[in-house]
Amino acid sequence: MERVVVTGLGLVAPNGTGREEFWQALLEGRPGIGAVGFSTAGGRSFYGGEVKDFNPLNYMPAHRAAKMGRSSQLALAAARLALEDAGLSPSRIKRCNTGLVLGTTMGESQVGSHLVDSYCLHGDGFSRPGMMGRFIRRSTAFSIASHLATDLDLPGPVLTVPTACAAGNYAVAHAYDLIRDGECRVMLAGGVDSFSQVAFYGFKRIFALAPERCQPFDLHRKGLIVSEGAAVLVLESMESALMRGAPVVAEVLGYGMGCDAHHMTVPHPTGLGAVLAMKTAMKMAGLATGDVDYISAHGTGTRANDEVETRAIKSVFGPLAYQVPVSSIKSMIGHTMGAASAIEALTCCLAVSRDFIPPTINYEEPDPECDLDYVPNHPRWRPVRVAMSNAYAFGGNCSSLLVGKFYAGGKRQWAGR
Amino acid sequence: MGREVVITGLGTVSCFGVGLEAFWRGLVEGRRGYGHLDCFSTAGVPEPVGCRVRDFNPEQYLGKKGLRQLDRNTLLLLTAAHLALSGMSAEELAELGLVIGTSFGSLSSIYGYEIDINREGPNLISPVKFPNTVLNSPASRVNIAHNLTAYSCTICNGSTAGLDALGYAFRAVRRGDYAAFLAGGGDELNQFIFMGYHSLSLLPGQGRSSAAPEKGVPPGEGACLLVLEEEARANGKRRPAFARIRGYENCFGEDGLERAISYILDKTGVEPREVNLVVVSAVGTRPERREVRALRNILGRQGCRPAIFAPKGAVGECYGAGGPLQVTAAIMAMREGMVPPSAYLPADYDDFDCGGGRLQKKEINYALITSVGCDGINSALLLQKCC
Repeated sequence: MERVVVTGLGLVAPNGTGREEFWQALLEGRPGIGAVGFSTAGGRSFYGGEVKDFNPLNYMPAHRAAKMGRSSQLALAAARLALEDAGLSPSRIKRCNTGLVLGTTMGESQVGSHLVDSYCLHGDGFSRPGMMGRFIRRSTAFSIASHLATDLDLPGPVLTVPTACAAGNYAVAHAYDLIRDGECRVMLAGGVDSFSQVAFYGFKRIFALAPERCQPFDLHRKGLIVSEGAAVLVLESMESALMRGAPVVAEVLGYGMGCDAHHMTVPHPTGLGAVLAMKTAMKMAGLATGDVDYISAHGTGTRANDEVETRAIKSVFGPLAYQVPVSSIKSMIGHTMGAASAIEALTCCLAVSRDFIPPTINYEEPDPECDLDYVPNHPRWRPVRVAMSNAYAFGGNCSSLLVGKFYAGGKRQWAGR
Repeated sequence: MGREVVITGLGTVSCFGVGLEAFWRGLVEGRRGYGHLDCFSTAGVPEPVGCRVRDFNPEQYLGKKGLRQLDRNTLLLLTAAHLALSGMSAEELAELGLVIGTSFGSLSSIYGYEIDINREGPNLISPVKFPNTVLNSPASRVNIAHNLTAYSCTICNGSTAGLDALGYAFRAVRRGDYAAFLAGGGDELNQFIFMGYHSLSLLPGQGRSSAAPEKGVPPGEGACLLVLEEEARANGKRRPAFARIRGYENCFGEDGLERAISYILDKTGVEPREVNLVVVSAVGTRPERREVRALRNILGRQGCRPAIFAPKGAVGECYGAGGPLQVTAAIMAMREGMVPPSAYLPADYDDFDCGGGRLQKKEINYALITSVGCDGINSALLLQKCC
């Protein structure tokens, strides 16, 4: 089977746009959380991670931007940045049967929100000619991928994977499958979500929302922070990347999925799905627990997730769990929903290529239930051969992705250690 | 390359009722499943018709417990899963993957939640309904109901979603990553989809010369899930196979379907003349031109005149369920050796053998299933008869 490498990274996150700006933000541990722009009940201000000063016109012509919702705009911006980073020309995109797998949680949530607001205000929104149709077309989740495929002129397979907060991992995993099967030589994979009212109030209502900051693994963690963003990775067959002399950032080594099949919002107490996902990923990549140098945790900052994730890591890694650095960048950017695991996969690519581990910021007091090394507050420079990115979603959809440092030689240098 | 993949289980819920028998009987009799819609407000639409699953009683299959909080889409899918998985042991379920295609998924739950936020205020919305708003909620409920822990995925690709879910599962089993998969799709017909249809002038007759529902395809609903399994394993368990999946492709763009079909034929080495049935997605809208052109260019040009069957005239445009229902229709046509009459088929397909509105007897070895979405996504899947 083909080996699959990453040759381009593009993202729009609350604390930075583009690979280098985001990298700087990670180094400095810079958060992207602030008071949210939309009006919230009771006049209280709430905190979220918005992409401020995003100008879609930097990435697309005005007439196209006008046809899209914000999720599509964010995703297209990330995709353009990724393609630029990979140095792929339109003609090569065409030749390589380039496709797209995109993950999302809420799709074009703001478009739908707008429609419903107007319905409730006027009472007739659904039957006013043209209105519903215009909106429904723009508000479906698959409209995002089809906008991207149209604008980037992609000839290959186009898929939207709405597996909620694990969607980015699912997208990268499927793109990886298509390349190693030899179906495509180049794939774009990523995730996106724009700031969603439903997610915001929904999480608030299930008491999973933190008031001001996200403190993964901390004793006093109060929940997650809803954010928005987009990230796209360019995946390419190794042969194709080496032939055109593209700079390779990292190699995708494997993935694993698992499902709790337990409860829609509560994780399985022993982390059944999470454990299965991590084990399956390592089996697919042919790696042992000792090969993993960094775990990018799902780490939402909710009481339940962080505790169960810690337990799951311990059950997979045994005593080694205490030696592997585990961190959550959600402490800085909040939970970007469908984009979260794509941004984290991108972070893992940076980690293995630059031998660096991003911190968990806002970490103050250790929780006896969460007793691993969470890289508190300061980044760490140390060799990272393999990074594992965990992402878990509503419905118990668990996923783990493994990316490694790229060695062109046939034999991976960390194998058999 | 890879392993052979066969279909060994079917669960179907359509406007003709619950179960495979009801679906096939409806098709063979050439009935049209639409009816007057009165289950939601259709203010402003002169003649609201759609293919809704009538007298749908999920409790009969799923028991009473825990159904109250679920949306209709989930209930349809749970029922289809119940039918497809009957007789499977707990060990088999533990290694069974799941992938579900849906076009609108939880749309009614999302909009319902937004309406509640607007009307009740954000502090009074239901915490129990929140999980329904994520698009992977219907699939995850199937995981929970049948304790499927191996894999859970949702694909949201417009009209091709169901076929793409089957393709996704087909590739996973062919690669050898999973021994078996439950795959397919479902969508419900609700006020939002119906009014969207109306507003885009897509209801049959709207914006066209005729204003009668029999001249087009109304929106519909349903769920259809198939069990895909590695052939050697199915044989080992002495489970009869309905059909073998030979290939699947998904390509974007105006000429996407042409490329998808030619990739499949190239990779499998099946000759165009061997394809003797094409189950098309004809609904009488613009994207279909891509389908007609692809069939003409690839099959027609070689002088092939396969039988054409269009089930959507009978069961409506069921989005996520559409592709899997087409596949199910093809499987039944192969088994029974007959092609049902198409209740609705535009004249563009007349280059091929459209059966003249009659049930025809025909031996079918290879069936091609095509699906085109309004946003430029195209998918095709090739089935082979299993003896």
